[in-house]
Amino acid sequence: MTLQMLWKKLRIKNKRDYKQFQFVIVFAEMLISSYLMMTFSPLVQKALPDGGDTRKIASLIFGVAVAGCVVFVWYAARLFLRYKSREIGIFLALGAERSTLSKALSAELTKMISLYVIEGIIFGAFLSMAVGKVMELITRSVNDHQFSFTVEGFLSSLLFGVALVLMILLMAYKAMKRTDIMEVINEQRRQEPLKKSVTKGYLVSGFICVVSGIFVAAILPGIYLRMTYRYMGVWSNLFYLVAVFGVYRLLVYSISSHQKGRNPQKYYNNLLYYGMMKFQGASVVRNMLVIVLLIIAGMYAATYIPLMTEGGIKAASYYEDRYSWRYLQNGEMPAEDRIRELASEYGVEIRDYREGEFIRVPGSAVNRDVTEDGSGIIEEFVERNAEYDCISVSEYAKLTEITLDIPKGGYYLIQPEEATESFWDHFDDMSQLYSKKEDMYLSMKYLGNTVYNALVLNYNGLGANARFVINDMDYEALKAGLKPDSLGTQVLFDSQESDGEIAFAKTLFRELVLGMSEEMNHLMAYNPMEEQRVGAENYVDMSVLAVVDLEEPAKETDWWYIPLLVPLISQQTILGSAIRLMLFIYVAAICAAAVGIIGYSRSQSVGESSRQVFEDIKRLGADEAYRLWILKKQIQKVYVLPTVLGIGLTIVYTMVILISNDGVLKSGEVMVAALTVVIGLGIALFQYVMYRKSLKTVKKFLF
Amino acid sequence: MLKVEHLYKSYRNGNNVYEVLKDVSFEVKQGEFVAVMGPSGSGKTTLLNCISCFIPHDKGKILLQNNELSRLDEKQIAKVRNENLGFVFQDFMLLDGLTVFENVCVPKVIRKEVYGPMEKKAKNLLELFGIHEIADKYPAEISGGQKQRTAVARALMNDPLLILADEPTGNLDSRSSEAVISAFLEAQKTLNATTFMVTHDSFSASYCDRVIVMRDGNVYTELVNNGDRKKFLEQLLDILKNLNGGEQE
Repeated sequence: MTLQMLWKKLRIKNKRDYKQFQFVIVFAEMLISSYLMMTFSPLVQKALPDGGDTRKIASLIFGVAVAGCVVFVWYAARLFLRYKSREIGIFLALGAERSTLSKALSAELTKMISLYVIEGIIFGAFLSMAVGKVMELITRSVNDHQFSFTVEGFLSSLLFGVALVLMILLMAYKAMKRTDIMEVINEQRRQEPLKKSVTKGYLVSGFICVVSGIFVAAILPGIYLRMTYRYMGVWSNLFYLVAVFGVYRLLVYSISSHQKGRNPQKYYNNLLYYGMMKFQGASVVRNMLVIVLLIIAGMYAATYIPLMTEGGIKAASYYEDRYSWRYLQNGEMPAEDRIRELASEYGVEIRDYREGEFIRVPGSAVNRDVTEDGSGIIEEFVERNAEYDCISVSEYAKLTEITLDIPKGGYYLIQPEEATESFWDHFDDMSQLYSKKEDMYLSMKYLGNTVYNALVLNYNGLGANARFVINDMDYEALKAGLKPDSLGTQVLFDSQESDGEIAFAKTLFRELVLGMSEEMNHLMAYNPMEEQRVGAENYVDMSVLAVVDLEEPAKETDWWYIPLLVPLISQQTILGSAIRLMLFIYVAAICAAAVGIIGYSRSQSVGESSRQVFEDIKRLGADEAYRLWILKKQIQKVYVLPTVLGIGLTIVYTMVILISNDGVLKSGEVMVAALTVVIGLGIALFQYVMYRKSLKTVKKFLF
Repeated sequence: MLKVEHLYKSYRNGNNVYEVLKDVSFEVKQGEFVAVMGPSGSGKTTLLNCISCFIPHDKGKILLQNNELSRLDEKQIAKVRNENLGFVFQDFMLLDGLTVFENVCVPKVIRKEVYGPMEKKAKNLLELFGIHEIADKYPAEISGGQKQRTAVARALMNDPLLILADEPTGNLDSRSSEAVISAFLEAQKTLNATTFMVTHDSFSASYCDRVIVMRDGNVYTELVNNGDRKKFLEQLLDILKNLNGGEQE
């Protein structure tokens, strides 16, 4: 018999603790690995534009996922080390050397966790393959890329595993460093009572902190801005901490406050379980707070962020034409014949092909900026703000079949359906256009908006992206003397949806990119007038060439003359939705796992630390039903209030944000609200299941 | 055998310092069975934990066979704990995953001894304390008294100079307590074991050769058993009654 043999025997006999630890690590590694393998697969890499919204959300959610996994692994490791602590303490007391035990523990942990990590990576690979295949099916109609494993996916999964091993070894090292053997032995039953005496003031102040924190951080900035046209500044975000502090006080009150009050019977009925909870108070409250925050983070990430940051991706039916692009006449763009030839090659039927001329002329605007102290907005008239696209009213009618009555000196702004002014850009900001021939400015007056979604540039069609419809005579006057690099053509046409459309759109994109002139080769945010104003040397960042991928139009495109090709947008929409759905499932799984594991492990600690009390009250005549009632009450504390607070606060917060956007709930926002409630109910159900499981486990080892 | 000289120990809680042991001195001779009694908070368990080197002391000396324990490094302390000291705890501190027999073997396993003599010794001890029939059972399957006798057997496995027992009968009924005290007496008689026991239980203490009574971190008095256990018990009860202001502990 050797120490290693005893160690092994203890491992075999205490299978439950090891199995639990194994499950948590394998689960964490599996989730993160599958996520990473999925993200690094060509299916996602080639489909998601770099720097796009979905990719940003994916990164954000990955951050939440990693944090969630680390939190629940940390809890599971702590629980495992607590259990090991007793064994180690006994060996130490009986004369085993700390260094020997430390080495044995480190060796055991390294071997064990490495194995669990490998298991997790293998399961993760299977899971990612399954998810990948499902995604391939969902996106089959719009996506040619397939799921496959990549070296980056495996290496990053391994890196996460190594980080887990190191984290747990560090925890073990710290646990072994303690000198007080009695503390080591009694670690499993360590008591952490809440010291302060807690009155009703805690409840009231906690409630006030939560309400005022959410009000100042989330509601007040909007009200302040609407009333004063000034920003409150980022300091208001600090009030989220006040809300968290309020939640903490509410939780402390729920654990520590126990007064006779008006219902002395209830006081005495609950005397025992309140007393028992108090001894674990500090750590129970900490756990409860982490559960609340994880529920909030999970629900927020799963509902609000993905749905509210859809950005510019619109449904195909949003656009009047499936193809729309503009180019300068000095480019070598494919003409109508070439486009029709291409379309027939791919079996695409072109409908309603139109071309119309426009000019690019410098014009004025009102620039707005926040004052240096951040408390106000400065407005400044800029004579030559940008070169704007201007279309004559007759050419506009030819393109859109919309007839406008525009007198000389008037203009309409082309806008999308749901156009709103921002604080930076107003509809009527342009008040003069430059006539090159006359070398003078024509005074212009805003008459209103004309809606044509397929002609709007850069999603909002404001600022330097504004496009105007002007009187025919004004148009001719402004056009006089312009060179081809200031003359443009707008192409619009529709098509019958068909299988070859994506391939056609990709080829078209390629030809458009290859045909662009030098003046067209800029980033989306490029503004030649701004370059003139600030000087080329100060405009280096923006004067770089357009970023386009000839083979993958959806990927990493940042181009001033980016065409609107609806089949490719549909592809992005479907892929984006599929990926958001996948991310939602991951986040939901990770947060639920973290919440579940923390609740489950805390329930066990509560049971373990109350073991002696249960024994004592049994001797005092408490029957099993009574002891079970007390146990239930204790475990309910860990689950009920944090779940109610987490779900309740997220629902309230989501409603507040949705309503404070513009004072009403739009149909999309109602969907977000409903989804939040549904996910909340799902979490509540999951917590109930975990509560039953925790109760069953604790009951088994206590009774 | 064991000499404690001017021992001091305090705990700090924030800005408050609580002096738990104040100038404690006494001696325990080879083969003696000594108990330490006193009211709660008198410093009994802290004293035992200091002697066990489970916690460090502030001032003073603890000499085990003239070796000062505080001068030893961690490796040497581990060796002393394993070879010279035997421990019996109030809540037994048996390893749940090992059988009674295996638990008793642990001190020798730590010492990496060959299994033949180790098994022989373990069997002898199990027989001595009447627990050989439950050798293959796990702690969860045996009674409190049997657990504590297992712990006593384990404490004697390496023929220690001194057995340190912390409330060994604290979790036991009177019958089991008697069995455990008998185990100590048996160890004293057959193995000439020296035992230093912290207890609240006057009945158990009445079997000892000597009882050190502590109060407020000091040695209040010492009572010597002259052979008449009943009379010794009465003496003990009287002293404790006085200590508790007329209330018997």
